[in-house]
Amino acid sequence: MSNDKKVSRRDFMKGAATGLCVGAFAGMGLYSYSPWAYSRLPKVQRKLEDFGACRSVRVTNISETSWFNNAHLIGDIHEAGGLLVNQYTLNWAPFANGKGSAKGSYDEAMATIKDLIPHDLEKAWEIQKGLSLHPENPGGYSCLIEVEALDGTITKYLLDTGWSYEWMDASFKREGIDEMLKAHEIEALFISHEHWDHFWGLPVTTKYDPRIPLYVHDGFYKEGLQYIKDCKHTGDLKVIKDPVTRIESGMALLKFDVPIINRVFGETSLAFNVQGKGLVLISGCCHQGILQFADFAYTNLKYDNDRFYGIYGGLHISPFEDWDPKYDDLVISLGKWGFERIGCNHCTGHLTAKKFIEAGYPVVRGTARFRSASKDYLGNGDKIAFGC
Amino acid sequence: MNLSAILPPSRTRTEARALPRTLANSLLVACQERPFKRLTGWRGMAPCIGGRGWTCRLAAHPGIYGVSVTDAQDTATGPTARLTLHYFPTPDEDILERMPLAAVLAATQPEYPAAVREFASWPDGAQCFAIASVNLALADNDAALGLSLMAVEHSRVIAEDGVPLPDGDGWLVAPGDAEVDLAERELAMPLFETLAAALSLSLGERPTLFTRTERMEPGRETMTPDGRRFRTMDATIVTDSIVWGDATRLPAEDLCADARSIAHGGPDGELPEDVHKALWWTTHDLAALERAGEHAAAFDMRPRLVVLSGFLGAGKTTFLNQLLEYHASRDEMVAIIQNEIGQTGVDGKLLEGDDSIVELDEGCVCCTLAGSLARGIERLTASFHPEVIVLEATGLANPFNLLDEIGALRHLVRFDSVTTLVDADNAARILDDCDIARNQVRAADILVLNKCDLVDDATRAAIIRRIRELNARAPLVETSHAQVNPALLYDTDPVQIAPSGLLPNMPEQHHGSHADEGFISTRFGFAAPLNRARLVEALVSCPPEVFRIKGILRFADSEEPEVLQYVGGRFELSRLGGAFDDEPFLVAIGRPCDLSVLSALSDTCEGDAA
Amino acid sequence: MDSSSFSYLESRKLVKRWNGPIPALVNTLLIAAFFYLTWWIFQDPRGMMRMYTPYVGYMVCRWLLILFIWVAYIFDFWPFKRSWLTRTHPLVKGTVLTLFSVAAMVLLIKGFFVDILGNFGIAYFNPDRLIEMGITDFYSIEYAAEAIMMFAAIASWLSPSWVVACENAPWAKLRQPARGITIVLVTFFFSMIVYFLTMHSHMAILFYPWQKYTAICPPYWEDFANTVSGNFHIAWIMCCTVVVWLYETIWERYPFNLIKTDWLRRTASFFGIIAIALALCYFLYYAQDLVWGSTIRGTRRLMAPDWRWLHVGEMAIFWLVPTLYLNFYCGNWPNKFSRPVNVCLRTLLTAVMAVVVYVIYYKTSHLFLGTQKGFSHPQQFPMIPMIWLINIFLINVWFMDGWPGWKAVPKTEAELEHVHAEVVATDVKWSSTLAKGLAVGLAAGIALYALIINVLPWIGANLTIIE
Repeated sequence: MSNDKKVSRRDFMKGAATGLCVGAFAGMGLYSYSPWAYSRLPKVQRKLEDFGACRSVRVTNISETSWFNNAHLIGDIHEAGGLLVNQYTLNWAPFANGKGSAKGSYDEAMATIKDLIPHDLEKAWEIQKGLSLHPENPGGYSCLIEVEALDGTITKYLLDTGWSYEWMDASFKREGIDEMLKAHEIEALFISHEHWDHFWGLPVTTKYDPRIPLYVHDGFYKEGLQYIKDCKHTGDLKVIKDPVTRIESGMALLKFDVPIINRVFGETSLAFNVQGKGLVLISGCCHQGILQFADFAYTNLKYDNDRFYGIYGGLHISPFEDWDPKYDDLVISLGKWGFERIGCNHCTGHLTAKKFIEAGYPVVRGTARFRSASKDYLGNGDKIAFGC
Repeated sequence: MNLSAILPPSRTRTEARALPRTLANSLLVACQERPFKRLTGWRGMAPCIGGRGWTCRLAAHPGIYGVSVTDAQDTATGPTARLTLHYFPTPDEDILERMPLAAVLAATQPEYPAAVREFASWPDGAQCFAIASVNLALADNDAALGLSLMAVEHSRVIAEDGVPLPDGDGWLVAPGDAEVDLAERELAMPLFETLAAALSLSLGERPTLFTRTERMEPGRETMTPDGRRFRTMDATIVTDSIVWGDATRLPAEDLCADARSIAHGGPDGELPEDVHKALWWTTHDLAALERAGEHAAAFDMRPRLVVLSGFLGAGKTTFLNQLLEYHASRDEMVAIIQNEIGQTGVDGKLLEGDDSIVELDEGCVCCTLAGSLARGIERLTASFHPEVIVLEATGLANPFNLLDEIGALRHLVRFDSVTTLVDADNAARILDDCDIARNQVRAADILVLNKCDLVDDATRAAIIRRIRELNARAPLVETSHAQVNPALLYDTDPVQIAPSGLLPNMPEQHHGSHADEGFISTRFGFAAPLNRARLVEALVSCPPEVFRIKGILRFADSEEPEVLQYVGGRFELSRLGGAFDDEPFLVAIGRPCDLSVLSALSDTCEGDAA
Repeated sequence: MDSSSFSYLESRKLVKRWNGPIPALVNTLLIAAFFYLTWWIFQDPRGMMRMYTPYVGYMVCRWLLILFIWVAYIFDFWPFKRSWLTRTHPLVKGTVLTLFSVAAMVLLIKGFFVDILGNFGIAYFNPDRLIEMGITDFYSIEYAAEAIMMFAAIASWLSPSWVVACENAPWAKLRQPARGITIVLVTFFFSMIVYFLTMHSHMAILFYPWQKYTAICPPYWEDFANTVSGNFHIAWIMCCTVVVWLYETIWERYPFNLIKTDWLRRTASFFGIIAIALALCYFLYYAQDLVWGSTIRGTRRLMAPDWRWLHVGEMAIFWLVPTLYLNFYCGNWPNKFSRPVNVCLRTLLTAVMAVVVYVIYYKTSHLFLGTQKGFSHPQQFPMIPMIWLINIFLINVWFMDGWPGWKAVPKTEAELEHVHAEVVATDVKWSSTLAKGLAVGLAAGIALYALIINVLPWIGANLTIIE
């Protein structure tokens, strides 16, 4: 009897031990990778809009030095009354009327140079320099984007057109943009946002090619739309209203509705799907914040390998002052997306760029020519290619 | 109505799904004004991944507010959106005790902070933190914009059968006690006021109409699956609606048959007491608000002055470069006064032309006259309107000698603190050898222990002990490469000095602990409110050996606690603006001297209660 | 019955030279020293040959492993004579057999893959060809090494499976070398099929533009695995490799050895191993999602699905190390209970040890292996040091009879009988009590699993392995 008990107890233990392993493995196998298991984790709904693919994208930095002295720029803004002041009243060239800080007016300024743009920009700029605050400060932001389609044809686009007529004209000539514009080789001009350093140099483009198609955000104010007319732009003006606008295969314009300092509204940025590589993001300033930009692209677009491949431009961190200072590590957050080629400049911040490099991110270094300050940046005249 | 600051100016129509975004945009616009941030106690916001909501913090409460989009639809009169407000208390906040048990459980989970950040992805989990709902409606042609808050005045849920502790030994909630007992409307109000004030500011006009209705929500019984009965008590649901523009163009919302109108009127009509002074009536015109003078502290535009001290090679320049870029990326300005001629200066590339750096041409700041310092500051302020002015002392300067001069600059700058960097790698040796280095630590209001990556834990602990012997009151952060977010060190708001950040609790120290070393700090506690005149008298007659007095005080003639800042014979009192539950106190720092004038304050304050 | 009808490994018995734990300690120390020395010479990025690029080193590890399996398990040490094996000093034997395996490996990699396949078949096996086509040197070598390594990874699951699960059927009766050659050819052939089904597309998408004409791009597993990367297959194949050895060592081929019918037992074991491996694979993937949060496709490293699949394989390998150590140097402890209980205890014990090894590895490896800190750093490839260590275990136990702590003695007749009888186990019989136990155990197992997945998020939030 006792022996039987022993046997049955042993049997029970054998069964229990086997069952334990089988049960645990069964649980692992049947539940772990199942939809129920994942219902416990938060999900992001993705649209995965297919916008085609291109073979490669090349960016030539025409100019990234928007202004040469930060202290003067910020000083002028605060002098005028702060970040909400309308940029057209700051009294910077080409919208200066000589009346001093915060007393500018679009119409008065335009009256001084209206007849000169776009054919005689030297004279127009000279007049405006006499009327404006810190006349030597303006530079500009602009880059040339060459998109190679799958069949090998190359299309050229301009993103932004800078600020100072003088500086931008020289920069255009340096990179041969003037000849391209004259030959109507450039398909379109995208204005990322209405800020002085991206948009006010518009006559430098219309001087060479007034019929170039122009894309702007529907956040442009009436002065901006008037300026386009005053620059004698005769081409197609496309005011972007949709969150995603397909430009050509593998190229889309993304629209962000975000208020920006000095009464500017909204920014558009470009996204490319480079075949076999992944997504490339190109922005002017990225006021929407690089993490929002990436998050929006991730939620809305479909791209090869489902990988973020490259990024170029100014990388503003976030329009939001975060509530937890301990969490302000853009460097870590950017690492999450794992870009393979990072080309940063303009408003990124030199220390931020240095931190990217220290963190081992693939930052493409520049040559620090033509008044670009640092080799950690893709400076004026530098090039970066994605996918070739 | 002009919505061009928060919606695309050249848009043709507004879709409902863009509406929640406008609320976030109005905050972004309003926060470009420094006074707005101070008026509302704004502490920043962060968007949730996927854009379904955002989190933000206000000074009124220590926790995090969350706003998420519930739904948005286009109606006959125009687009409307409904948002849910949440409040995520800090795990040790008292208010948590009055929230649902599920919230208590969630808040004690370790992943809670991270989950709050992305709460919009967890609609079910965040449900127990919901406190109110907000409606936003836009009439066609932008004729009117309406914002309303619907919240329960006081939410009570009684656990009829109680909730036993998991081990069955006693009660989590005793039978008949309240599981939930929360004044939800009161909690939601600071955020609602901030949203409405932001809309007023970004629309540039004041609201035309305020209405308040309330209705009774009868109580009900619920039963959990395991058979416990819960009774939700009768509740009053209050709806506050604010309309900008032509109020007739928006349908009256939330008016049920049983709702009772409490108030209905324009800005100058009969308003309930609690919204009489609400910010949304005034933020459309900040200039007028400034002239009214009621919120002087919010409009204090003097730059903050930070004295940056630290022995040679402690990393001051690195730290400064971080500070510069941090503010530059927020379109603010940091100006620097240096006197390290021939040393590596601030990274010139950050500030090309670096006109915002003034170098004083005397060999050492501590020997210059206040006059030249004042001239430097005036020049900087006039051309750059800096947010912060940093006075970078040489590595061999004794900050105590600067405090006298700084007192004389009060009309130009708001003295913030002495920040001292300590080089962890060499501190032990330097602090032993050098009197000046010890004084730099003693004078510090904020200590940054830099180069922590170069030392092991034991060395670091030893250095911290050594520093604490010299200065037990200053908050200390450990860094390497001087990397620290300035927001952690400096409270940018002049009114809202967090009491905890101001001074950590320190033992009462009376003379002698470092008497032979030259400097001591002495703390006085005050059990009862002070008489203002007496305090002023005491401060005026303070001996010159006292360099610095800081503290939080209560006065007999005012309800609000006030902050005292005394530097080099001059002092400033400003309202604290937050709750302060500890005992009021003062800390005096200086050479040993007779401090009886201050100690007498505490002896006599009971007798003076006026 | 003579011992020649048994494989050499079956015919010998390893006996401790000293009592107590001394042999295990001595061997552990020696192995650790040898590991570190050879690591420095061959692998360490700061050392002499620096194969840890990482893929070149990984390829060498995997191929060495497979060669050891071929020499000991499949060819039963042919062409070396049994008499030589029994008489020669373990040190000499170890050296000769290891060098023999290395030579064979070089012949295979260089001769077969690079020069024959890479020159006359598939370009990506030959780095020089890739370089000619304009791929950078580094990636050319890495890609080629990765492709060659994957062959070994697949073979290191199939080859031992054929011996362990299929019991060499249907060629068990053949004499060496015919049996060895047959099984090598068959498993190699199957490996090739599996390779084409699982890794060829992965190789094709590494190149730009995708090699759509030579491979299916994007591959069929994209939706299921949430990635186009072949790492998904690396995950479950590595789990198979690990489970084969679990089954062979600490499980003593339980429970499939209860099946009496030969063909049924063999198929059940073969597919049972795959099923268990899949379960393990899914669990390890899910565990990462619980600890680190949901993957985000399009990102890289820690948050990327492809890296998480790779990490599944890495985690599985961490389980193999304590498993083999327990089997080789601790006498498959514990042995005092009934077999199912022993198996269950060993499984739990090795799993816990695997976690310990994992934590220690990630906390310290960058300090002495020349790897980089961080779970997902491209220069942090724990499979390489782990398999390198396992290779040294195998050299020690298979080629050197556990020298110096152990020595080989021939088994007695009775013991040899036992080996044959052992193919089918009789120690567990069906009874109602067993069924009751089984039911209780099943419930406990599921509860254990539920407990683990509920604890993991907490671990993720509270414990930091790497600062």
